[in-house]
Amino acid sequence: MDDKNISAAQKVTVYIDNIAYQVSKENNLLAGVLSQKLNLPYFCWHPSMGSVGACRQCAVTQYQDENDTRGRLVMACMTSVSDGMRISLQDKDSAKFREQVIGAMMTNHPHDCPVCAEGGECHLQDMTVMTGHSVRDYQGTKRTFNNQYLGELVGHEMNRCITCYRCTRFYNDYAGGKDFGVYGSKNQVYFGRQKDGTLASEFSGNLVEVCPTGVFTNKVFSAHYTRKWDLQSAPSVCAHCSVGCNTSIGERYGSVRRVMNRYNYDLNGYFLCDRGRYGIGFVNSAQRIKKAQGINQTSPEKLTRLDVSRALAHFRDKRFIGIGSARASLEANFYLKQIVGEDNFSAGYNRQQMAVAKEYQQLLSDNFIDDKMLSLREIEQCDFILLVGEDLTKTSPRIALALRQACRNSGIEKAASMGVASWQDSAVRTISGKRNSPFFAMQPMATKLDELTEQCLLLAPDDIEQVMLALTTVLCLTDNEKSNYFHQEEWQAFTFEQQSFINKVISALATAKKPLIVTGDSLLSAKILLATNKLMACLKNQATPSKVNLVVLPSASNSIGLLSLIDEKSISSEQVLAKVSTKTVAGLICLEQELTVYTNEQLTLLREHAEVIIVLDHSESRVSQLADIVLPAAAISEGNGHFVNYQGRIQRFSQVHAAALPILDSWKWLSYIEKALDFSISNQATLQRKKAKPKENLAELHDYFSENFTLWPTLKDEQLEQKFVARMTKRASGRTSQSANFSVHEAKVVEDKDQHYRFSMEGNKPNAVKNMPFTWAPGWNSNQSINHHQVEIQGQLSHYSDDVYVSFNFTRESDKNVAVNDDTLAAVITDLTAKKTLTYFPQGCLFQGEWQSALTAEFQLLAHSLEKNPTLYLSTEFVESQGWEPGQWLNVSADNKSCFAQLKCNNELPQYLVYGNINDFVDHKSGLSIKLTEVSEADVIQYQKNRQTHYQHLKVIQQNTLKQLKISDQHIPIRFVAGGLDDA
Amino acid sequence: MEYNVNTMPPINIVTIDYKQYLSVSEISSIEHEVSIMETREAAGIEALRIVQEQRGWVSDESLYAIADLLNMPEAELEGVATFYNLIYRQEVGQFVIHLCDSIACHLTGYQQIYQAINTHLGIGYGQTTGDKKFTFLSNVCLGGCDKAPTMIIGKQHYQQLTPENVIDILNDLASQESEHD
Repeated sequence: MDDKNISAAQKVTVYIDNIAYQVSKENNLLAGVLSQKLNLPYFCWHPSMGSVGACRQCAVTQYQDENDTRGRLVMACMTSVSDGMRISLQDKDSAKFREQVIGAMMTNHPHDCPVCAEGGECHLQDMTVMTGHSVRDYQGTKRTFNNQYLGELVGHEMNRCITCYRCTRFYNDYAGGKDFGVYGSKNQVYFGRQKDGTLASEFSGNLVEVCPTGVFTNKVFSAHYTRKWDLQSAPSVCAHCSVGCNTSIGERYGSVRRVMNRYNYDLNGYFLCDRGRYGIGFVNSAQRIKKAQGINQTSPEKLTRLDVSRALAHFRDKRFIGIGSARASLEANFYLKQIVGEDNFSAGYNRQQMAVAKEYQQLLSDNFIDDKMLSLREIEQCDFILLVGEDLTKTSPRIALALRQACRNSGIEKAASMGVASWQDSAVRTISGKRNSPFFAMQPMATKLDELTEQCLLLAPDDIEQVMLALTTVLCLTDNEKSNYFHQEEWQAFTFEQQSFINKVISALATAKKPLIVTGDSLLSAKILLATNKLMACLKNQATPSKVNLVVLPSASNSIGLLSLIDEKSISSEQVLAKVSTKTVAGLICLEQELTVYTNEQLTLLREHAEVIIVLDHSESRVSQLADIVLPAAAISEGNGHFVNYQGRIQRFSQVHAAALPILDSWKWLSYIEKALDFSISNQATLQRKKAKPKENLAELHDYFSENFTLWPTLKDEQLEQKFVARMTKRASGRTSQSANFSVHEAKVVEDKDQHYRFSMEGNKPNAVKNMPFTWAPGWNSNQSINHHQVEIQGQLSHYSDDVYVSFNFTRESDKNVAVNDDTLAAVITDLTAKKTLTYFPQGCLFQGEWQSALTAEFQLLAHSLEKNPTLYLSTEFVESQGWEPGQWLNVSADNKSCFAQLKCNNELPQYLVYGNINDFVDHKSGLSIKLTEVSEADVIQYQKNRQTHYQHLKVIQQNTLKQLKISDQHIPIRFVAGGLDDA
Repeated sequence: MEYNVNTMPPINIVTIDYKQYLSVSEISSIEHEVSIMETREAAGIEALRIVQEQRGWVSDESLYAIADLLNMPEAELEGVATFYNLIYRQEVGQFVIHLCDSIACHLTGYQQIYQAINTHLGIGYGQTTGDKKFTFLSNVCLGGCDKAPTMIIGKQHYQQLTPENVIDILNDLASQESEHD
């Protein structure tokens, strides 16, 4: 609301072709024109990246006053807005100029639209049509380039380049990439890597959307291609981390083709990370569970409720343990908890994780009862950052990208003091130089954000806690007390770096206008969360000039949803094991849960003692292989539900296409199970429940929840208006003949039981609702059509309504007396030096860090890439003490596993702290004691050979997956020529 | 659709340690340039010039070594190297002929000069003679339009060229070198 008032106050009148418009003074003229939904072509300008004036496309004529008839050409993106300004878009001079600029670009642009993956959603096509440049004048030869191999995700076709420089401005300037550049000059400018190789940035996929034409294309999409107008899309939420970026998933002929960014003002804006864009591949992988196991299907068509009831008849009235999951929807987790009863509900967390969850809840209820946690957009406005214990670029990449923008605020402020507006991108960057807003970080491993920090400490989790506590202590002291404290032994125990870190943080905090502390649970340290809470409590009592903001990041898409269901009765994985072994329960219901907490032995034990294990999941896991009954659950693209993001924001994901039966939403299976098991014995017995009847859609399920359980949050759904938005575009081709090889009769469209969107091209326009299935506007076929659906450029969506948040009020009577068990805290690695054991902390991995996306064939290849060796970073001190050399190979063994890694030194590391990027140990987030031994050269050669063989194996899997997808397309008579596009 | 092991990227990770690759004098000259610049990477263009003076051209290895020394991404340094036409990223001969092919030279007989050099040395643009004496490159406007056609070889600017005097110049240069031998 505040935002709107401010912007209303700062609007000025601009006359465009003699019509008065109210335009924001804060932005440039191009943004102003586009905000009025007028058509002005542009290339190099981007709402998030500002202007550089490189392409000369957005020329307009500006007039001195109403008597001026000649005017002069100005580039709209480089012109600031002033009151009473008069411009024209329609005058002949500027229109001709814009047409000629396109003409010049076209001299080198190939005539390959029919085989280009961008065709049909190409900004260059749209702009060319817009300027009216409809005839090719140039007859000469065109300049040609060699393309590069840029990895498994992004295709490269340099001949199509129009030299707008957007790619490098995004990749290098905006996202901090290092391995991308611009080469040559004049008419021979090349954008790419120094040499062939995988793009190293976690945000490389955005090049696909940032590039106005088809130079950078989605390689995975090109390999199994469909035109944008033939895709059936639905609004979704990314399932691969806790940020909750909004996505639009596209499908054709029953298989998911791609994910595109779906603009969200508060969260992802215009950009996604590569895990979000490409991680969807898991829904097409060979590991998908497509058939039910352990249940007799009586009807030839589908698995019925009765079949489930029969299979479970034996377990009627028996107790079950339900294990929920942070990747299952809020509905499914909530339902499961109600079915099994709160004292039989587990989040699949072990004791240590439960202790973390408790501290997490405490932190949230102490700090976020009245306030909301900052959104991504608000994070970008911060001017001081303290990052504690997170490798954000790998765990919540989009947040890391936001922090990069926050770091620029100091430079933007300097530019503003010199009268340079923030949208003057090139000028602002020149003025800023290497100036960054104060940024401090501490974590056990080097991260990509370290380069932006004023100081970064590499520390074990316990030492991080100590520094946090000391920081709190010093903050609370008066100046006199401080000088005393600095002489005490407690303070002297810190190293010089740690002491100066604390002092620098305190002095930077004192002058910050919007300070931010970011932490999370990825080190599984309850102590760090506790220390953060103490620090926040201290800061609240301080007379600091500005309120200090806190952002806490969990690991998974619905971690906070699951956290909101954990209470004092929830049981840990150890208690699950105990209950099963003592036969207190008949069995387990595992909801989209791969139970990584258990060792193989524990899992075997579980299997032996449980009478029945029921698994609901979309992909094969170690648990589904042991299960008696496996029910195929819908993956993100096939189901409906809600995820709760790190802020507690409840966001809906919608079904993109009807899944092939018997695949059903987890919550539908749970409603079958509820009926079959008839849990009248569960804790909920006192509730006067309606006779459980089948729930056909989310609305019925929500009604059922809110009638029976007080805890269920009320979700006001925009779709109550029942707008029936079409999932397909108006031009979807072949709809009536898609299944003509089965029947010439046009089939009835699949009915969406959720009554929000239609599996059809008939229905409301996509922009009729807040959650648009895809974005399109007349004349704007690319994703840049989003300009037409925003209140103003880079502003809120036109059909915006506030999101609902879960309540963070976790304070419970019993909690006040229950301190976190010291025992569980001690489970965290303590003082490394005292123990003299090397402790390894994995650097995050974008491609392996999340279970679902890791199943994607391309991610497997990238995780096992041969372009880099597994590396282990040790302190120089330790390496020298062992007489080792950097570059040498070592055998790393721990946890019954052993593997090879190349040794590197890091001066900043404490002696016994080790970090690296070894695939096998990526899950050991809270530290792992390792042993290192030297290896012979022959062993290394053999090891590298094995890596190559494994890579080859993964490549075959990728190709077979693609082959399978193309085979299933063959059931459809209309298809593209086999082999796909040449960008693939 | 068998995946061929031979097309697989080999495990060949090139890391160049500048201390191993660059000479002591190169390093000290570059460090001198760094000392008078605001940031390390600002010395990139000078570092490329220094290395090229020593080695005649900038190889991939030289590029990686300089990037390592200046602690900058090699992609960024490559951007600098390829922007300037006097930094050679391919091996060149002893003398590099930059023949101006701008409009004034075209009006005053550029075509004949090109033909003369081409026939005399037997090389076109982008090529080097077998004896590694001459490399032939085009150049946009050398700023000598009043005395066109023109070319530049080394640090010498040659103007008002004719098909005859250009051969003399090349012969002179060729013999000059042999005197040195």
